[in-house]
Amino acid sequence: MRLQYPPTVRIIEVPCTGKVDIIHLLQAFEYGADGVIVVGCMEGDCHYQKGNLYAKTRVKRAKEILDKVGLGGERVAMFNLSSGMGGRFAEIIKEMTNKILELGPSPVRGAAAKAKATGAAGEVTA
Amino acid sequence: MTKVIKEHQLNRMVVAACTPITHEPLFRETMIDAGLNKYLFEMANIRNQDSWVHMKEPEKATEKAKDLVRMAVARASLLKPLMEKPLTVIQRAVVIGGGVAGLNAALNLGDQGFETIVLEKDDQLGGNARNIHHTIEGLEVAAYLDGLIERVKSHDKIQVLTGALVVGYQGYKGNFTTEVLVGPGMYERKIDHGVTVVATGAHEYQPKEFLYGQHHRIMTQLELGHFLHDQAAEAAQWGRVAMIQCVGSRNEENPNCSRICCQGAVKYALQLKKINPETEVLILYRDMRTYGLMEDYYMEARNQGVLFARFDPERLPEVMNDNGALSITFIDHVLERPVTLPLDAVILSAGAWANDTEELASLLKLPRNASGFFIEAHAKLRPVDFASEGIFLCGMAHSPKLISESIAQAQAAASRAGAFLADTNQTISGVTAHVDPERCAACLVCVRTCPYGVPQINQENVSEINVALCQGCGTCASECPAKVIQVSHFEDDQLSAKIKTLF
Repeated sequence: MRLQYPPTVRIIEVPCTGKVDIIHLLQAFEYGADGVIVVGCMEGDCHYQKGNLYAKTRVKRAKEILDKVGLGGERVAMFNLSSGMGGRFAEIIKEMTNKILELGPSPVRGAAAKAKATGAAGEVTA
Repeated sequence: MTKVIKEHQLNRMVVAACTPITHEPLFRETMIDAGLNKYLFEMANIRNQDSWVHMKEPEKATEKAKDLVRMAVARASLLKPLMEKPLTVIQRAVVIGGGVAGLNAALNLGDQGFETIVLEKDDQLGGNARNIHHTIEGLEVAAYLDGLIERVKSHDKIQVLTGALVVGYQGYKGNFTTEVLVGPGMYERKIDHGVTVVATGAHEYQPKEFLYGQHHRIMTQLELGHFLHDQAAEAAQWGRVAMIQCVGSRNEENPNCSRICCQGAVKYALQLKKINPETEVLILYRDMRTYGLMEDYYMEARNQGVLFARFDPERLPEVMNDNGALSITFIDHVLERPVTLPLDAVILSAGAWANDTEELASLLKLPRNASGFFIEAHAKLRPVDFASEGIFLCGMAHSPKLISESIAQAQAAASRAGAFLADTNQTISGVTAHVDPERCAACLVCVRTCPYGVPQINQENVSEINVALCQGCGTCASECPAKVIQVSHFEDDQLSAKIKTLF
């Protein structure tokens, strides 16, 4: 389909969102990501039965932690897509990029943010 | 590549190119040829994830490509060689659905010498083909179907279970177990098999529009087919017939084009003309697509005086029933004004809707599109495979099709399934979870988390994961509070390295 979306994401492949560890979500912010997106299969359609439900809980927990430390929980989000929803994927990247642009660079990056103004890290399943 | 690996004594390889889905297996073969473990390979997908989707921002795309390569290299440096265990493949196939597609797939597999079990939920075989008397080319369907069913039933490698409902499905490629309830007695049967062919079909939409069900001469295409077969003398009396296309297709409820109804309308229009050349046939369409060589039949219909009038979905034709006298009003696309004509019959070209497979799709974990049709692994590269290995797809379960197309696809699916069964050198992926017994506290989180019930507390009082059963999803590894479970090839440091290298 080659649908265009902003070049702001870097995709990290995992076997299932069930493998997306809360540590990795937080690590991304520690290193300087402005936002993290977790993209899993539709709820109820997990190839491994319920990996995406575990991911959902972890993303929720990560949001709470980000709120607590003042980074803002809205910088991390989970979306559920099927393999036939490329259009929605492109939309999500656009929406999330706009949201992160509104929020501005992550305070974690501090001075380094100026050097590299764009770039939200994304995590996506295979 | 093999030469370069040997010449420079490389111990890892990173390829920055396209999608690993198609090319990783190829490069992994190269690794093996060069004497390296195939898991010491990593791909950066700078095409699908970059050049294709950022065409208008080349500079930013180049920066992203550099990042993707950097990430791949970071992970590659931490990859470990993995061993794969041999996979045993149960030499038996299950075909779900006993229509033309399922029967052809079963016959092909049986002829290849594989034991095959056909599961049909109805009490008789044949599916939709029972409702079609002849093809647009004039071929007799019933005679073909009877012959096909006879060959399947008498085949010494094929067993047919009618009234069979799939209620359970477990296992992995080469080693599936399907639970079925069979017959009026609903007796339970468990079948161990190596491959599955899904051929669950589709059905004709039951219209709610155009007064369907309120007049015996408002009928669907399939009903017209039966009528012309059984009551041709009565049909010969008809003065004028209108056919309405795209009923229950290309709308909000079913966005799919049903694909086969255009040729259906042309086929029945020609049949009506054959029964009585004086019968006026009017086909009201949105877009006529008699694809491939069927265009000849469309031309033939025009030559025989069949009228084609285009309508706008915003201004639908209106069917009226005045005390049993049928008429239709539509906006003529040339005159741009309403035209009303009395009619003897209204034929609704009702779309092909996927059969209800919600439960089956969830049991087999198979993807379906918004209209309920199953989705193949890749439209061009793996058109009859599912993404889950060992499961194959054919017939109208995939999309609306003509009988000839269902047969061709069934042959393709059976040939892919047969190739899978015949390959005795297959292995189980090395991507599995492992517990570090030294640090395991036997807290039972993994035991409770695993969707397949694989982790067990062993005699040493620590969790143990049987790699032959592990599916490698990694859910246990991410839940383990002590972080003592690692999924090989997706270990924590390998993922962290990818993130860290970006900043």
